[in-house]
Amino acid sequence: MPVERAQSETSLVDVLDRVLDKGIVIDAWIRVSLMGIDLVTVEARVVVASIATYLSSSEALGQLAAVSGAALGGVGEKVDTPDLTQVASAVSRSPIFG
Amino acid sequence: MKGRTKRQAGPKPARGRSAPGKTGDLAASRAKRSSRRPRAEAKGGADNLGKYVYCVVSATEPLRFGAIGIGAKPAEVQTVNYKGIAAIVSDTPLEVYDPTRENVLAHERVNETVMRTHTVIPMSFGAVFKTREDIIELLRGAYNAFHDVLSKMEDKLEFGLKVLWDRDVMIREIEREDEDIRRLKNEIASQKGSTYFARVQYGRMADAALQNLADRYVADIFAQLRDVCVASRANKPIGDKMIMNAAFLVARNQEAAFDARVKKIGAQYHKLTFKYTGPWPPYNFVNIRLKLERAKDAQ
Repeated sequence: MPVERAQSETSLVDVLDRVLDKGIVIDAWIRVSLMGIDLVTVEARVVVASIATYLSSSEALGQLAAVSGAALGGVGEKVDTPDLTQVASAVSRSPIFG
Repeated sequence: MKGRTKRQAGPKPARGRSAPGKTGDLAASRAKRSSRRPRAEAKGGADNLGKYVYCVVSATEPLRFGAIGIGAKPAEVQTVNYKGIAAIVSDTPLEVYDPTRENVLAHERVNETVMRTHTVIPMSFGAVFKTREDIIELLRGAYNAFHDVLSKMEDKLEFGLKVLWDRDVMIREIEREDEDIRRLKNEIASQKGSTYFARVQYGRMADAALQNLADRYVADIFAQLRDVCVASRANKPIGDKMIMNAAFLVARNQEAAFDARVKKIGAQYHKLTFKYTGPWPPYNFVNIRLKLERAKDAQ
């Protein structure tokens, strides 16, 4: 089939897939505290908990085996953020995004 | 909570509100939360403004990107600068943003606008800071990480490629090519009496053959794109029609080559459906997890 490139903004699913838990992620507890428990990063100290960039091309081939081996495995979900994952799945089921 | 009520009536689509189940639970928990937060209400005025952070860029000067920010009334997007790096921010009421269509797209729109002229490290959705000083603290505290990643991501763009297929079409394909499966299918068709075991066996063989075929296709697609990208990442496919859910990091000067290659692959595999998106900020290639700790003298 002829492949056309879609502008990023046009696909909400693709946007959600990225923005909810990728890039610079602030640790879960601060989100909890953002949600009204009385601490909004005030006088907080920033600690880099982990940093990873995925730059080696060989990685794709390394991950391939994992992908094909277990379609339901956690490939690509290396970041363990149960709260956010729940948010994400709740969102994708919500009728707003239907 | 002030912000919530306001948004409920404002830009948010009403249909989200009326949805039963999950949404209802969320609303209930929100109500609980808001009752625990009287202080923000009491303050009022300018004190109630926080800053929403979209991404981090390299910049030595303050920058402005226009009124394209998140929220009902799009706020001016500008920078908070610290030693050659800067956070892209806009003023916002101090509230938690729900990942609604409008909000998520606003977050992405700002990232894409900034990305046209700068290398960005995208922030995940929903980070609101109370003051400018908090953001400077963020930039200072994670300075080395930001600096390092900004130089690694310089002049690189992310593209998304999802590949889907129609299982039924592929099974027919497999039956044409695989003699064993074809024979078994014919046996089932001609057999009298119970075909249960033959059908189970057929199902197993067809599944394995499909998986095998998917693996072959995906490996070939990755291999074909390998020399036009800097890196690639295989995410978990979503649903049973998707066989590949990948992200590619591509140098700006290789964009055209990557594009041409994707189209060539598309022409090659005419039975597959390709969903090709981008350019994106490099969400899939940057993972910076930050922890905020209470300073000793806080409270």
